[in-house]
Amino acid sequence: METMWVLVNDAGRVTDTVIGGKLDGGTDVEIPEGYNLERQQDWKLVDRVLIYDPEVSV
Amino acid sequence: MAILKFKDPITGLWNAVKIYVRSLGFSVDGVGADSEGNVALGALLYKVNMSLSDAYKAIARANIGAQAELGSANPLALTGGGTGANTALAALTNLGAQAKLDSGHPLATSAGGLGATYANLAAIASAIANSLGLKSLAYLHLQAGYASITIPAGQTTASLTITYDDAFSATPIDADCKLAGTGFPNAYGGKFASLHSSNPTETQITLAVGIGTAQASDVSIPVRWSAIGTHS
Repeated sequence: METMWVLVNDAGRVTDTVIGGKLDGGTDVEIPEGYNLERQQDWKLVDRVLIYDPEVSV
Repeated sequence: MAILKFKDPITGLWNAVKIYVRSLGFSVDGVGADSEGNVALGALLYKVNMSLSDAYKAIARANIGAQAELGSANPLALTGGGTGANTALAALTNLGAQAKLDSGHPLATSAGGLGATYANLAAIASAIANSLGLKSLAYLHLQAGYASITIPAGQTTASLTITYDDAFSATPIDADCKLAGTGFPNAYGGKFASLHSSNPTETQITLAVGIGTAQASDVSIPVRWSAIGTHS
């Protein structure tokens, strides 16, 4: 199981991702299928699991 | 050794003795016997033309057979050029003990040994590597990874501090950070990635990203980073 560390904002949306290191204040999670580093904001952390939830541009 | 004596049948005197000393390899017609035919050692030695020291040497040679076996009853000589009974026994005993290496059986520290005591094979391996100048290779350490940093809407820069999975023993001798995503370098008015000015350190590396034009929504900038140095 390959994992990564993520930081999320108050809404639980991913703001930073690291594969190959640790993030202070972050969460170690399993890398979900289809995860895209350039579209990390499309994923939300719910109960330590990343859920795909595309961000709606304003 | 046997000493024989007989009485002269003519004179009736004990004056003729014949001696065979087979173990020393010589024989002698005895002379100088006393009235009972007993031969004094001095007379015997005189007759065979053997000095007292030569006699001891001959006896020593006769004893070589006994010394062919080393044991508690036949230790090496302590004096006169021997290696010492205790030393010999200790050496034989230690042959069995030295078959293994542990805290109770370290390698020798005296001349002929490796020059120090070593706790285990890893310590020996390190000593050998150091001796051969391989330390830099033996401790080579590389850390690398991917990261994605979000530049919030309306802003043009962001940074992220990453803690290595395994620390370096000192500041890495080299480190790098570069863009890893698609659509670069022209998107968003230009994308940029670099190391933060204060990094890397022994335990962390901080990455910085930027775009030329602030965006109305968040922008994620994927980067690839690496650091190389010696392991802690």
